[in-house]
Amino acid sequence: MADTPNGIPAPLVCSGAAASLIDEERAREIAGEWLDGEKNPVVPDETIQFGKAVLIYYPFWKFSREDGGEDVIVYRPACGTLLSGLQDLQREETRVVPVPKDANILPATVFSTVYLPELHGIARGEELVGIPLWMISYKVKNSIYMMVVNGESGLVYPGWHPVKEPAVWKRTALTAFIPMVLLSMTAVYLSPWFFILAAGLLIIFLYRSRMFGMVNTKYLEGKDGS
Amino acid sequence: MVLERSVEDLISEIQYKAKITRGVADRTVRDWFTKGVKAPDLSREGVVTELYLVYLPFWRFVAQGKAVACGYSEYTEKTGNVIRNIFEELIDEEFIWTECACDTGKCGITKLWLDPGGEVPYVRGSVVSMDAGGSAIEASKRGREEVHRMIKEAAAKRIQVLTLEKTFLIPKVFELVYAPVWIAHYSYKGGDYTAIVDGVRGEVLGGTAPNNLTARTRMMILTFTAGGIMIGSSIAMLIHPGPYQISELFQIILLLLGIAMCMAAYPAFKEGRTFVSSGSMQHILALSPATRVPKQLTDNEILNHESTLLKCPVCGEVVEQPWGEVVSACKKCHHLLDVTANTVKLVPYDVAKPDLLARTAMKGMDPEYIPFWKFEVDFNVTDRLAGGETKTGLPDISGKRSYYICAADIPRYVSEPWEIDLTIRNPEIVEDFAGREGTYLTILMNQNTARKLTEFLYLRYETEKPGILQVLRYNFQVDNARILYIPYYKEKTSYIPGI
Repeated sequence: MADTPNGIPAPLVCSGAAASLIDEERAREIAGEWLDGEKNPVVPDETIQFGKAVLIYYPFWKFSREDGGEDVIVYRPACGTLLSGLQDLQREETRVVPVPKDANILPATVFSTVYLPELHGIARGEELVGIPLWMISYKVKNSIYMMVVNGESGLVYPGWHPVKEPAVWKRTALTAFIPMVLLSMTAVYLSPWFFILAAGLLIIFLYRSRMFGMVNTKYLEGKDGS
Repeated sequence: MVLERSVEDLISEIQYKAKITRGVADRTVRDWFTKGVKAPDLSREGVVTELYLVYLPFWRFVAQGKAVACGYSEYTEKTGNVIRNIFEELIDEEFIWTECACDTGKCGITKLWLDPGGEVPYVRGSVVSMDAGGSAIEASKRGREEVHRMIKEAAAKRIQVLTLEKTFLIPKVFELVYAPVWIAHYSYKGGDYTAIVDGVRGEVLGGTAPNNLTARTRMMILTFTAGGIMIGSSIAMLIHPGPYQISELFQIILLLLGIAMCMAAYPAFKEGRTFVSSGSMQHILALSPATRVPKQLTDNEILNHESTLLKCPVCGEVVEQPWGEVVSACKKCHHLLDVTANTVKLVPYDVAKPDLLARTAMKGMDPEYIPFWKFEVDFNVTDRLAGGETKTGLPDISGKRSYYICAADIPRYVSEPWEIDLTIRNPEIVEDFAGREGTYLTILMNQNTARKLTEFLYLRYETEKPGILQVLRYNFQVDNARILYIPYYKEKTSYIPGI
């Protein structure tokens, strides 16, 4: 990497970018489809409010290698990130276009040499490419989440997202609470032996919670409790 | 020792070396799957999709905190007697403040978990690191405020009512530290989670994991059962006591306790679907590229300075200041210059001549000249009260006199006795106008810091007198400040004063 005369390293610049084929509207649609999808019984039915969507070009090192007689292309992020799904980016090789003038491109902060020890094969070339990613925020109840949609391929990198659970918490609370209030009142008025009955009922609740509809049978709990 | 100049472009950047390999990090995460109240089949069903090393940036501010706090705490005995304990606290400790300089989202890392030591210089681009966001100047301010709070808290730990409180903060280091972590993204039954492993010690620092649903359901049932019994029993007894002779107050407490238990348990077990150490993604915009905010010059600064170059006010030579040195000599005219972030001030200085006794005793040895800040101080004590005070032979150092603060890189436990000795004695200084050849130690403390230490020197001296100091009111005025090079003869590990 070239150094400027005063010793400050010259900034890493992307030689081009993958064309963004998905506009904001389509990106939101993809995100919505993913959240509603049958494959993902993990998102609650509560209303999802979509927030801001930002198109960011993430810099990636594109390593061209020859491994076992085959040409292999490997992508590694050229800046630090905690987002999931970006460490081993897969994309079809399409034409790289010049970076749009008004593009929001993250600065590349990682030299390509960092990744060389983990790459296989013979080096055939390397270049810095900007990959368009839609960052879409959405709100479920009081929590805000973020989803990344690849602006080129439409792939979804969900990251941290809400999880639907089989437990019916209101029913669980009421089933445990109401009988106990009634039994303890009866015990005070009539006989303390009703407290023994309450203790017995508690044991039944603890071991047979599904019987009382505490767990939604649509998402059955595993035998081991998972 | 003391670093005063925390200019934006001169923040030192260091990093810890990663000592944990990918294999060890993977095993640590899988061990973590089996611990705590996580989903029981997590170790079997959890699939690590990504595991990579990344360096997280942290601001670190290290300062020497000094404080004097006096006051009392009271308690009432059963007999009604009020016992008052009076306290006099002297704090002289190192305080460290750290803050994560990037948004770690749900990973919840806010503070640096590693102690200083073993760092190496950070070379940009040589490791995968998160970009440090926000302004270093703002972070430095936050650090100072937080350390001030820590000093006050430490000083007033045992004291209920403070009658005297003085805190001083001597900044040592402000730096950007990069700490290595292994980020493990993993999926479990359609959900995506993250775990973070310390890249130095191999411990799991935090992250998210699916919780044990059965355990949570059972805890919910147990709490609501207990709450139901408490509420039901108390209501029944309040309406009709029956054979139970329990006070009404107890019944009401039982009722309130039952309600509180149910109200606290419901959200806790309902929302506790994952382990989340801390942190939030509320500030979603913080995930956009972080940029360092450059120091903004004020209009006044722009008007008064033709450029940001710092020049000697005597000869106009551009000042090239070594990092960490706050008072340095001009290369051209050899005047001492106090260089702050934006200005250069001339510092008057004297060189003391070794006295005849020292020269005779240490014949053949050249002294080292140790710089001291010499202040002409007027300490006017208006009110003083101490418990159990007794007369001692210790002299009174209030009033007008010279105070000495060592400005060289010499441990404080060595230099503090010198400072007290010189301040008590106020020795006659014979100036060496011709100047002498010898070793002149570098000045690493600027005038502001030394001035604070002057006040602390007096307060510490007062607290070290017999008795427990309670009230001390005074006027403190500094008339003159200059550097005085005092000759010391170094003999093995000790210094012998030359005056």
